Amino acid sequence: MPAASSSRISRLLADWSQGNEEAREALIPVVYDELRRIARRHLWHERPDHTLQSAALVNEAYLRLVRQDAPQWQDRAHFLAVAAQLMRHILVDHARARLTGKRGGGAPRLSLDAELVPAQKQEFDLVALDDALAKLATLDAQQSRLIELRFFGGLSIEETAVVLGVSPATVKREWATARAWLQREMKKEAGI
Amino acid sequence: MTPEAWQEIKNVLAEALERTPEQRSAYLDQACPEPNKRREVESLLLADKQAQHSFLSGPALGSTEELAVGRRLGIYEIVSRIGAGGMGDVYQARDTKLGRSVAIKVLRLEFDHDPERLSRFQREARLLASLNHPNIATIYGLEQSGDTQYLVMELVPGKTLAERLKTGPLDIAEALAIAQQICAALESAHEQGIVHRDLKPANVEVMPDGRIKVLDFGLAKAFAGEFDADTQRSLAKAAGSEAGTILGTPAYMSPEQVRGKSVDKRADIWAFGCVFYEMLSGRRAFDAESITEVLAAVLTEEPNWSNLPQTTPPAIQRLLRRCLVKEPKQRLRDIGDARIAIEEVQSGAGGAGVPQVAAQSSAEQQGAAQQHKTSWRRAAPWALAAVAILIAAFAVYYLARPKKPGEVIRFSVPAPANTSFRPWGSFLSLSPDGRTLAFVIERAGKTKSGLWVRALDSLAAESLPGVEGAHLPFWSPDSRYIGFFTEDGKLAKVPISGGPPQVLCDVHSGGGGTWNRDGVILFADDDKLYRVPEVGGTPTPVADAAEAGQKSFYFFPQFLPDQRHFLFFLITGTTHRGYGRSFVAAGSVDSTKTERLFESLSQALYAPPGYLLYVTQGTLVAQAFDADRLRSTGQPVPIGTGVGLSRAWNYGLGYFSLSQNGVLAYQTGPSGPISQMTWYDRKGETLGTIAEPAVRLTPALSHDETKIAVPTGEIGGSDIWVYDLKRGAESRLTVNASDNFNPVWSPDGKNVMYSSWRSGHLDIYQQAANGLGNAEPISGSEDPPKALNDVSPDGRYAIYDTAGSTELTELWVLSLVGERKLFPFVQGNGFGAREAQFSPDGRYVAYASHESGKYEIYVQSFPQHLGKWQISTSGGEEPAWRRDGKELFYLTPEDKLMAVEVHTVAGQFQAEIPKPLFQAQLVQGLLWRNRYVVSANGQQFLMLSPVRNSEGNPITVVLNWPVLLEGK
Repeated sequence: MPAASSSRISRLLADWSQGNEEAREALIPVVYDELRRIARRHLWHERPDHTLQSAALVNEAYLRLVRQDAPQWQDRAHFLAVAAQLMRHILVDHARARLTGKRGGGAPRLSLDAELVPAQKQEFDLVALDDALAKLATLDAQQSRLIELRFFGGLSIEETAVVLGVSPATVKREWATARAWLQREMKKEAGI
Repeated sequence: MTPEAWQEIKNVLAEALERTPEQRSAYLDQACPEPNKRREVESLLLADKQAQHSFLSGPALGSTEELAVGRRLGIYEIVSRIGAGGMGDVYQARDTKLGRSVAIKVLRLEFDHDPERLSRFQREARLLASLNHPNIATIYGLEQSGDTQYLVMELVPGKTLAERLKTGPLDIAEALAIAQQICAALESAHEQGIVHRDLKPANVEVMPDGRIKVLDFGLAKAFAGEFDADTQRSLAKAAGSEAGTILGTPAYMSPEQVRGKSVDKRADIWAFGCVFYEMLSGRRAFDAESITEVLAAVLTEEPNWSNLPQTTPPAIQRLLRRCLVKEPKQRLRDIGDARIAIEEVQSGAGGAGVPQVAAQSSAEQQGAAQQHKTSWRRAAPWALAAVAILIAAFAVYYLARPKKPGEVIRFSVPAPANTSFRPWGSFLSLSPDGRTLAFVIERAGKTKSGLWVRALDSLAAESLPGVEGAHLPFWSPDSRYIGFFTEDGKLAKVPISGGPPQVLCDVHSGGGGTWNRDGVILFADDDKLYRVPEVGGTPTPVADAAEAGQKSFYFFPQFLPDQRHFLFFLITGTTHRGYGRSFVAAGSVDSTKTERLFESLSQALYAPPGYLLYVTQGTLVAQAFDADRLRSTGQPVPIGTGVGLSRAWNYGLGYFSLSQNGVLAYQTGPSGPISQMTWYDRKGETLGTIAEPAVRLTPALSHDETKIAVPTGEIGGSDIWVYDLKRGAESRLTVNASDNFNPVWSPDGKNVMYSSWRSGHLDIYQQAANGLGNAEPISGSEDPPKALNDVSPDGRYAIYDTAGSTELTELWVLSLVGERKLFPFVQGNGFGAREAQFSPDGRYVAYASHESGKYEIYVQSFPQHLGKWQISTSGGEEPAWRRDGKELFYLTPEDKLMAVEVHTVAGQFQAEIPKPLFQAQLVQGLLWRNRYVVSANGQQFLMLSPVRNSEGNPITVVLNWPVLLEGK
């Protein structure tokens, strides 16, 4: 990543954290490409164990895209917010592709508690989670966004609070209730 | 639910969650009088409880929330990540206030909902932080920054005793010096009432100056104390999955810990005895073939005292015996007594301090190389400790009830770092003791494959040095050696403890082996089964398929419990093209007579207590089997789904293996390589892709170039699909999920002909391409089987390959018009011919033939044999014509696509020199017909390109699989 782009990204992040939504739009393709590239590598090449650590991945993308000298903390949070959304797409797409790639079409959705290979379980869960999150968004868009930030972006409670413009206490509260709702919803879907 | 209703429920739920479980009921009585609403909240509270142990419990997908370098946690600045563990990651950090380096363990537990649990943990951490001794790594404190809880600990440079012991035993002086310091550390902690509970070599850090520090004091309990049984279970799963293994070794657990009884400082004395024994002997005091056996040994067996060096001072031998007394009440009472005994020996061994100085200097030498390596590079010590407790309970259960081996436990074994399994499966073999998994990793490209072993109680697989090009590994009955076949035609064995492989005899190709307790290795080699002594020698035939009057091939022999009879997989017909049928059969080393047991697409393996396991329709099943009568009984019961079958021989060789004690390993995957149909130009540039990636075989392009017919799917179940290039849509033509393959379009594009196994015999069928109408048999169902290659442009002849009198293929012609008759076109005499393609004018056939000793492309006039011309010069297969008949394409053995201009001058066929077009990327392991088609103008090529990024699934290991059969 040349320095010019890097500072451009830093500027876009700064602009966005000051409320410029266009800056956010401009960030998306850059971040997406980078995430996809890294995710692909992690998924298929350098990490044959299939364990995907989205937070680590997003961090790596951040470090690649943004100059490391004096990163602003707010910038990082906003970057992670974009990344969280994109990670959700990448991971869920990947999981769906793997699901449909399995022959026999109606591959079973596995139960959350089944004693199964977690790597597989996770892929199944991701699709279910994505569906459940979409449902949650119709009930409470902010909660859905919050889960996205925390789960797919790996944002801490403080970072999530910065992005959503609420207090950390609110984030904790919303996280806890949304998580309970999701858990129940996904169990329901898994037919347990 | 409406958004409004959710807001209401959510608020009550949030309030309830902030209360302790005991207070919640009263709160709900007051906050939600309506039963419906209350039920809703209660179900969410229940879900919350589950969510805490589900994958939603952590914010990050996967496992860790990794901290960026440079990030601040309170007064600590992250310097680097130095390890990962089940409970959290470990970082090196700088204490910005005191300017010192520390280790930070970020806890992954969420205490959000349980302040009581948190305060309990805090109390425990404070107690541990009060330990202050030069031989104990200090815990500075438990801190919190935002929602992150982390332990701040002393950063200890050096390497662990476990790493040190990998190179063998210590000399006595060094062992004494280390043991003395361990004693001092334990003594100090015990005086404060703190028990380590997880002392082992990996928890002893040896610093460059020879001093040692004991790590993780009391943390096992601090953590274990936090968990209810549910959490322990999920922890067991988490630790097992993350590390890809089930747990660390319980070899240092005291008998009372194994029994799940309460534990005091005497458990540390036991563990100290184990560690001391290991330092002196280089071996574990309690070591066995499997975890459960280790636990059994801890409970019932004495260490092998003869492993101690002769020079071990008698006082030390006595001390060790006293530490390793199984009954805690009879054990050495105070670790201080051990320290005194050691110090007495040290001073008696030539003056106080002398051995210690020696130990220091040797430690310094190691330290120089390891100067800054920190001690945290090990997986999940605390999680493993907690898991160990769980496993101990499980083991006691297991031991108490040998007939009911407890729970089924599954975990996965990933490919080693920087390697991957073949997408469709890798050959694997479990040791008879269920302790070690051997598997073959094929490196990228066509370089030789490596043999890897993974001890199931270790965290990583190791590649066996000096073993290259290995296939089809199998184990010695004592689980100490692996037999295997090499690419250059040898049967060899290699000790898993290290050491060079030893060649036992020559083989032709090798089809699996088995090794009995009488020292006999039985192996399959093409059409014979041989026996050879385990020390090597001349192989003697045990069974010869030729004697059975039919050409047959053997695979995967396996000795049955009597060590004389064996099972094997028998393919009749030929291995080369999938013409034959396959059976599970049995024989005996005392006789050349063999017996077919049942028809099967995969090999069957026997396992105690009396089952055969085999793959049918992608599912691994177990069926009761009487090994004395050689009869299976009852119904097959599914054990695992999606088990891959090899397409390497076009037969189903299943990727699974069994130990003799209830361990199963298998690999799931598609039965063949996944490919993406991709268009290329003559330079090899990608023009585009069509259809979804899938397991595809032998495509065919319709003459009007609007459709592709391509067999899709797994072995024993491929159907022909028709992809419409204009509409971009795909539809299924055949629907019987038998092997349907090698489609050929009729010249008018209305029909597709293909070969199919649907009747149990390989015949040629024809079907309307629009999917309406039934499949119509074209060939009779008489022998031999027929794998369609092409149809002449006038529609009068079909050319097919078939099993000749040898196992090699021949090309035959079926006349489709008038009287149906069969006649040979290329009949091998010790060579094979295949992949026949009519020239567009129907006057020639291009095909690949092995007559020169390798496959080359030939063109021969048709139907009369007026002339034959060799086209390729250094190997060629899979020929295809340009529509005007003036150019011929083929692939070299390296998959380089070649083009040859051809002419007919005065009735004489002439070919120019072949020119390379490009290096094609094609799926491997398909031996049926062309893996590509050419556009009419010869400008574009549609190829089955491997999906590069697809790699094999991890191997699944199942412990106690026979439990799956209970009640079935």
